[in-house]
Amino acid sequence: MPHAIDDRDLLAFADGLLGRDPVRRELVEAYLEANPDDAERVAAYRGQTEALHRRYGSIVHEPVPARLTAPLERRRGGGAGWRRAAAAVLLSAAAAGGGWLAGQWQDDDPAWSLHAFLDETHRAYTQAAAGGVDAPPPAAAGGPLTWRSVSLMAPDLGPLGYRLVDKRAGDGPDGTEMARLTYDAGDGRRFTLFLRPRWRDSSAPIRLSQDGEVSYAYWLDGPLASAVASRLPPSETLAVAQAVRDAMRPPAPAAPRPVAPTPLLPAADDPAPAAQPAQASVAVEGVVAN
Amino acid sequence: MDEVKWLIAREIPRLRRYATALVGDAAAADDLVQDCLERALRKRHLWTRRGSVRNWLYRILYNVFVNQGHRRRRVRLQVQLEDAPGAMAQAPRQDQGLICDDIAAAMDRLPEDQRAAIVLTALEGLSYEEAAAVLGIRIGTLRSRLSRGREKLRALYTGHDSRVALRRVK
Repeated sequence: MPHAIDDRDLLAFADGLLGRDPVRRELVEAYLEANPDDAERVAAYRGQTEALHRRYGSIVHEPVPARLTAPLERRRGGGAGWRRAAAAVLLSAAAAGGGWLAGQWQDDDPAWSLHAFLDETHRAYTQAAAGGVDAPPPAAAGGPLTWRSVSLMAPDLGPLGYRLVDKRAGDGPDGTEMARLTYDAGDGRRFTLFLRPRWRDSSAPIRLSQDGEVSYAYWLDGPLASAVASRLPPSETLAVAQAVRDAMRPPAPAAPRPVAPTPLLPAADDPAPAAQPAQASVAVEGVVAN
Repeated sequence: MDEVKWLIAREIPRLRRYATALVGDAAAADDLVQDCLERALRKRHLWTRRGSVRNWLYRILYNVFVNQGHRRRRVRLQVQLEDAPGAMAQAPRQDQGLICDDIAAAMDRLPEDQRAAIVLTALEGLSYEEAAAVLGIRIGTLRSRLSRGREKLRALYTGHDSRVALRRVK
């Protein structure tokens, strides 16, 4: 044996920290086979950890009391509330273009990736289409989307002819925060927009993926991962995605930021982006057929 | 509008879990979170943006917790002296050999520094390095707090779960 098993090993083993050291882990396991007293100790430690999770784990899913978010809503000069502030945060974060988080961040889950987000979206869309029972309740019309702790306004796609018919913010299939917005054009065209807050401030161009009749367009922009899912033709899904992304970006820097309307309206002089087919600025990285 | 507020707001659910496990009581935990948030907002210009905002908040909350410890202990002692039968109130608590079915009651009997070490690693999932940084101690100190806390907890808490887990290990 390289060195004797000591308390440090047992503690790390009980805390599940030897996962990346299979050799050491096997040594500890063998040691515990031969030392029932220490095995009992490790088992008790693990029982403590499980008991803590059982006892306190659900707290993170509880709604946050208003008195805790109130200090965050307060603003110099008063007046504006947290909701509009959140929309403004979204705008300014997108505008900063890489400045504010500067790559120092990790997403909550290191394994998280754009592809994992697509999988989540796919599951959420399929569940919703099947009338999933776990769907979060619809949010009040005209109000902001509120996650457990943050809220933001849904993009207004009126210029495209789409109307927001349903919006829900809650947990996605994996317990992650995810908002689901359904837009309908009233003529059979309909799509679902998924939004997920994230840590990194990087961007990723719109990508397209196809699964049967459903096409997905997904991208990263500032503090949000977004995906459009629909039964529209892929080119139209892509056009919608572009429009959504543009609508969620800040207006041109020269124009004063609109103060009163809370929805993330595109600048008034913006042409309706859906009228244009895929633009050169959008890198379509490939159509993945499943 | 500053984005730090957005980042702080997203951590509130975890802060509530952390605080509840530290103080045991939901209302007291929200008081603690509120104090932590107000302090974080006042001091947010001091956040370097080099570490995670979550661990920064964990650290602020722990400091508030420790600074308020005196007040809280006194309140708890008064309650015990008034409510408990005479013999129990006078004897040192841990010498009574009290065994708890309730993990919260057992945690409550641990010293605050050991409790915090266990909560940060076992419940909040921090690595030993991160937990040591949050508590402002060296990693060796963290390990010894964990060991002592875990052992003390083992004497105090014999939830049936530990026996289930024991069979699984063997």
